[in-house]
Amino acid sequence: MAGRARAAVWLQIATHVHARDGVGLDYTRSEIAKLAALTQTTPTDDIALRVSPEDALIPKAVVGAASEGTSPVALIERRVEFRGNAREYFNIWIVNVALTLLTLGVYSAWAKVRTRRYLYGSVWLVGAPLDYQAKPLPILVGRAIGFVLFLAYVLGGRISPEFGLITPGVIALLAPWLIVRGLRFRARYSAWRGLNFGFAGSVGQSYVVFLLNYLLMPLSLGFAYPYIRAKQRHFVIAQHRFGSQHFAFDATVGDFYPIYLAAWALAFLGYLGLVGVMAVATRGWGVTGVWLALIASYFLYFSAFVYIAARVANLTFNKMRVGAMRFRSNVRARDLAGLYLGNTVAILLTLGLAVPWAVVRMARYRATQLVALVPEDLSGFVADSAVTEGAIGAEVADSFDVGVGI
Amino acid sequence: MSTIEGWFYDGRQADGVPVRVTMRNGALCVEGEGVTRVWALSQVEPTTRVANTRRVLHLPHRQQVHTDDNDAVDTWFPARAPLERLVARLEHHPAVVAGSIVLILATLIGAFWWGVPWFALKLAQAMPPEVERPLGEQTLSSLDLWGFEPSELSARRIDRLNERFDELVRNLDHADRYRLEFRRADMPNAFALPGGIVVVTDELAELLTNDQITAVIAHEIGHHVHRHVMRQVLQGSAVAVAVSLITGDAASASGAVTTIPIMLLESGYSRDFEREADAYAISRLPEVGLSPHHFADALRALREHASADSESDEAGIAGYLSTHPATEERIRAAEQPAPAPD
Repeated sequence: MAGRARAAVWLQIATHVHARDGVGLDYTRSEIAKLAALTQTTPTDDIALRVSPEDALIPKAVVGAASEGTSPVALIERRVEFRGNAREYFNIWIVNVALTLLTLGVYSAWAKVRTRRYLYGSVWLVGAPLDYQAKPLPILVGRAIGFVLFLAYVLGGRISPEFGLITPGVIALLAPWLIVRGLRFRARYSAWRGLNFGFAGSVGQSYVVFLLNYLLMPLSLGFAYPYIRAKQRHFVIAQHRFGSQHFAFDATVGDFYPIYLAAWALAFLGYLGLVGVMAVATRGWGVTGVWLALIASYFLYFSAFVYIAARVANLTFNKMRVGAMRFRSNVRARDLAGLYLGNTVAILLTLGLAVPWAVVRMARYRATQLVALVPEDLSGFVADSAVTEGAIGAEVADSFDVGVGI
Repeated sequence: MSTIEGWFYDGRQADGVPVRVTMRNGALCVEGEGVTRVWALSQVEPTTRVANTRRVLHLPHRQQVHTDDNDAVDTWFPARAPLERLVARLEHHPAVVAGSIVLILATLIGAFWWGVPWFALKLAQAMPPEVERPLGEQTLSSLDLWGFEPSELSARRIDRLNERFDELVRNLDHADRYRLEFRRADMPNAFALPGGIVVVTDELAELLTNDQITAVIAHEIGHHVHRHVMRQVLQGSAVAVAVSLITGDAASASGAVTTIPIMLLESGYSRDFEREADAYAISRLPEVGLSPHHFADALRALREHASADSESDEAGIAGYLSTHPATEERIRAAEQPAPAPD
């Protein structure tokens, strides 16, 4: 009897807590029915009402076409939540960094897995957290190879300068391959609700978007840059899948150009202003003027950078589809600027101890600005046959910092 | 016998089934709508605990049970992954956390104070001249492009200063790598470029006597002897890499945010270099028959020039950006009586 009462309370919590603030319910329709069955209570009108799209507690049932040729599916807004906190993450982070130092870096693979598992496990969507499943040992092997390559680069550069000059070229040639390996590994060991993600991008395609396309830069005097970025993002997102369901990315190259052109205009204004003030300053405007100009131009460059980061993040999520699932992202450049500045100042003042706090702050902000539009039940997502990926590519990519983030 | 709540995922689709999970007679029992399963404990592979994040029990055929009841899972599987359980416990231990903070801060400070400079020194000493020389030539030619003019000093003056220069480098290792260059610029200055180049501006030559210039050149040669230029470059990049690694994702590794702190850290290093170069000049000058007082006089003349200038507020920015230690301190060091030779 006690068990049944407890389960009933559990059901109450499950169906009410996250409806409280009016954005979505935590479970799918079939899950709520099964929850009710488990507690041996029939779904009350109350619950039935709450899962129906007409209910006021569910703010918007957006009707969107899942894909061409299929009937429209009712999508419910569900908040993406980051449930981690800085205190917990600090404890995990600091102990794992200390162990890494004490083991001269060997433990770093375990540290990476633990910190990532905390961060992934803190991101909740439709009543379930993300799950990072990678094992430390393959990561360690990958890191060891990366470290050896890095040593070869440093020592080789000392022995013969030609070697030092060739190595960056070799890394550039390997980068597209490393990027694909890294994406594949990360996707393969990320899961949600018992299904794994996957990345199917081909190495050949990667060479086109991450290497060959850069040949357009000199030809176009740099104006191909937004095109290159658009193609890279398209490659990275559209080749992902969740279970057997492929991601789609609807953003066109034309969506990227306005963002970059606006940012360039901002940076150019900053440059003009700097040159102008410098010219005035040398005619007796004084040191203060030069400093003000430096700070102002720095601020403009920073604004341009943050503007691109915010707009591209929004574009990425807003134009991304996974089956019928969509996202709506509302990251604002000025929020991002505040976060970046605050985080950097805090990290530098604490000699790095504020890193966990900064990471949590950023993750929480990104989650609060993100809403998922999810079909009522997730039965459309089914598993794909499993493949194991080696970590070597992912970790070598980490060592040379050629990774790409979504 | 305890019962916990969880979710069962069959590994084939994303909809989960809410279930009750019990441990009975060494077997894991999972019951829910349409799910009644039993697994032997040996078939269950639980993930290790990370704070209170949701725990996953991996089952055969990619099936999973997820639960938030971390304590129950720990009780049910006491012997799994002992090392990682230890780490999970350490993460909760205040003394361990405090010890980690101390260890990390000590390592970081040690690395910046001793590690980076030591590593940069070893690397700079091993750097072949073929790498350094083009770097210096390139810098000089870009300086020429950006506003340096050919020197207008008399050929006699240049010859005299070159003689002094040769005298200063004569018995150094690789004396043939050193070279003195003259340029007209906007302010009195002298500096060392990679590959043994020392540049003296006409304005400096107009401000100082030949003895004083020789003292300044000795200071610049000190930068070369101690490999300061390459060490500066290497330390700078080490600091840049470290700062971007530490700030990482949280602050975005963009150069935009991290440039200023990197500059500040670098200027700390270069102060030490100035002191080292001063010390070199002070000990080297008597060997070519000059008193270190000439160096002190040169510093005084430069200081007067700078303060006269900053009243007209033109080159005062040089004072702001200067990485030289307090001039008074340097003058005093140069005027101290030389230690008696053993």
